[in-house]
Amino acid sequence: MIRCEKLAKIYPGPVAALVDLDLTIPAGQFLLVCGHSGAGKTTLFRLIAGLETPTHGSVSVNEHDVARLGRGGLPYYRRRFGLVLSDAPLLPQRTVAENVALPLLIAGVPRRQAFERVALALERVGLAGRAHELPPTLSGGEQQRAAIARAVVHRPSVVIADEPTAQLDRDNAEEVVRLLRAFHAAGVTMIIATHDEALFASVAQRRIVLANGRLVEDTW
Amino acid sequence: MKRGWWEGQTEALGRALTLLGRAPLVTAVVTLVLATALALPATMAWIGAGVTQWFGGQGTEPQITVFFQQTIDREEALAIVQRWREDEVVARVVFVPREAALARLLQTDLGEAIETLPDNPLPDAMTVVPRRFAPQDVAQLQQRLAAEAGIETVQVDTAWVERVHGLARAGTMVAAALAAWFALGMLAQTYLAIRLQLVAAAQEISVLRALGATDGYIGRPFRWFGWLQGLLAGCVGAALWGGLVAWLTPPFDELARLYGLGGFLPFPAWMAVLVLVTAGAVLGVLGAEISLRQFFRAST
Ligand SMILES: Nc1ncnc2c1ncn2[C@@H]1O[C@H](COP(=O)(O)OP(=O)(O)OP(=O)(O)O)[C@@H](O)[C@H]1O
Ligand SMILES: [Mg+2]
Repeated sequence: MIRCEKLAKIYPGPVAALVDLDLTIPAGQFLLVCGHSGAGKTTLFRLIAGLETPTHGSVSVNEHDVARLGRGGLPYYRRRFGLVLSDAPLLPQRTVAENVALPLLIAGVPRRQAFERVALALERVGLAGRAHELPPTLSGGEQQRAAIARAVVHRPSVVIADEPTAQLDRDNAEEVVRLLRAFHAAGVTMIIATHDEALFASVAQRRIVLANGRLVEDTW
Repeated sequence: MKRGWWEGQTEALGRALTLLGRAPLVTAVVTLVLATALALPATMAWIGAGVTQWFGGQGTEPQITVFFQQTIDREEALAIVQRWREDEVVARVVFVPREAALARLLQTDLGEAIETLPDNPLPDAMTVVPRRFAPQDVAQLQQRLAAEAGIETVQVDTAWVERVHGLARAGTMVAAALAAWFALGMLAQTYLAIRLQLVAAAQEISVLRALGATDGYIGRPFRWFGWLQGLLAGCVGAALWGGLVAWLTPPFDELARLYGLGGFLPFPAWMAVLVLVTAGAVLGVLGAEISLRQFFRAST
C-alpha cells in the first residue's frame, strides 16, 4: 500500500507542481492517473518512485516513510518499482537484453540467471529476436515493449508507467495495454498516467484526475 | 551471492575497459602525461642516488682510526692488523707504529712539549678503510672493532659521516619533494580523467540510479577505470624510465671510468619498475575515489 499525505512539490520559480495531495493506493490496484499537460502526473510518479524528495508532506509504503530511508536505503526502495518513465529511458549504447537485465544485475542476480529471465521477459513482450540489437534501431512500439520488459523483469510489486502508449499507433498501443493487463493479473500494482483514458477503460479499476497539482477527481 | 559479487566485479572491469577503449586517443594522451609524471621523478631519483653514491665514496672515504692498548706488544698488534686485512668488509688497513706517530707529532706545534716527555706517550695504531661507505656499514664496523681484545679506542672521521649524511638527506628531500609534487599532479590528472568519464556517463548514471543502483555499483567501473589507467601509466612510465636509464648509463659509466669512480647503478631496475607500477595503480585508484566522492556528494 502506497500512501501520499499532504504531498507537495514546489520547483524553483516557484512552480507548484503538486499541492497537498492525499492519496492511498492499495496493493494490486490498477490506477489510472489523468490530467492536462503540466498537471503534475510525472511529478507524482517521481515522488512515489523516490526519484525526487517532497517539498512538504510524505510518501510512505506499508507505513514506512520514504523520506527516512536516507541515502543508503533509497536504492533498495527504488528496486520495488518497475519504471516506464522518461527519467529512466533505455540506454542507447547497450543492447536490448542488457537494458532489460539492468534491474537484475543491479540487484546482484548472477549473470546467467539474469539473462535467462531476460530472455523470458523479452519473449513475453514479443522481442525475443531483437535481444542483441541496440534500442535506437527498434521502432517506437518495440522500444516501449522493451521498456515494459525492463519494468517487470525483476518482478516488482509496483509498476509505474508514464504515458506508456504515447506516440504509438492503435495496434501498438493496444498491445501495450494487453501486456500491462497481463502483469496486473499476476498481482502487480499498476500506476499508469495517460491522455488516452478510453484505451485503458476496460482494465482500470480506479481513475484519478489532477489539475494544477491538485487532486480534483477520484472515481473507483 | 559470492558469485554475484565476482561477476559484478568482472562486469565492471569489462565496462572500464570499454571506457578506456572508447576514446583511445584521450587514453593515450592521459597515459603519456601520467607516465611522464611517474618517470621523471624516478629518473631524477636514480641520478641523485648515483651521484650521492659517487661523492659519498670518493675523496671522502671514511677512515676509522684504531688505537691499540699500551699493554700489548708489537707482534700482537701486527697480528690484529693482519686479521683485519683479511676481513671481507675491509678495503685496506694501514699500520701506524707509535714511533711514526710520534715523529709526525714532533713536526707539529706540539712538538716541543712532547720532546720533554721521557717516554713515547703514543700507542700503536691502525687506520681501517671499509669497503662500503654507507653510514650504517661504517658504524657496524666501528662496533666490531671496538669489541676486539687489545683495542683501546676506535675513532671515526665524523666529518665524513656528516658529509655523506648531509648529501643523502638533501638528495632524499629533493627526490621526495619532486615525487610528492608529481604524485599530486598525477592525482589531479586521474581525478580529471574520471571526472570527464562521469560527466559523459551522467545520463546513464541517472538511469542506473533510478533503477535502484547503489553508489558502490555505479562507481565500480570507474574505480576499475582509475586502477587500469594508473596501471597503464605505471607500465608506460616504467618503460620510459627504463629507456632513459639505458640511454644515460653508458655516458655515466664513461664519466665514472674517466674519474676513476665506481660504476653507475644505484638501484636495480626491477625495484624501480615495481615502485612505478604500484605508484601508478595506487594513484589511479585514489584519483578515481576522490572524483567519485565529489560526484556523489554533488548529486542526489
Ligand atoms: N524539474 C523541474 N523543474 C521545474 N519545474 C518542473 C520540473 N518538472 C516539472 N516541472 C513543472 O511542474 C509542473 C508539473 O509537471 P509534470 O511533468 O508533473 O506534468 P505532467 O502532468 O506530467 O504533464 P505532461 O502530461 O505534459 O507530461 C509543470 O508546470 C512543469 O513545468
Ligand atoms: Mg508527464
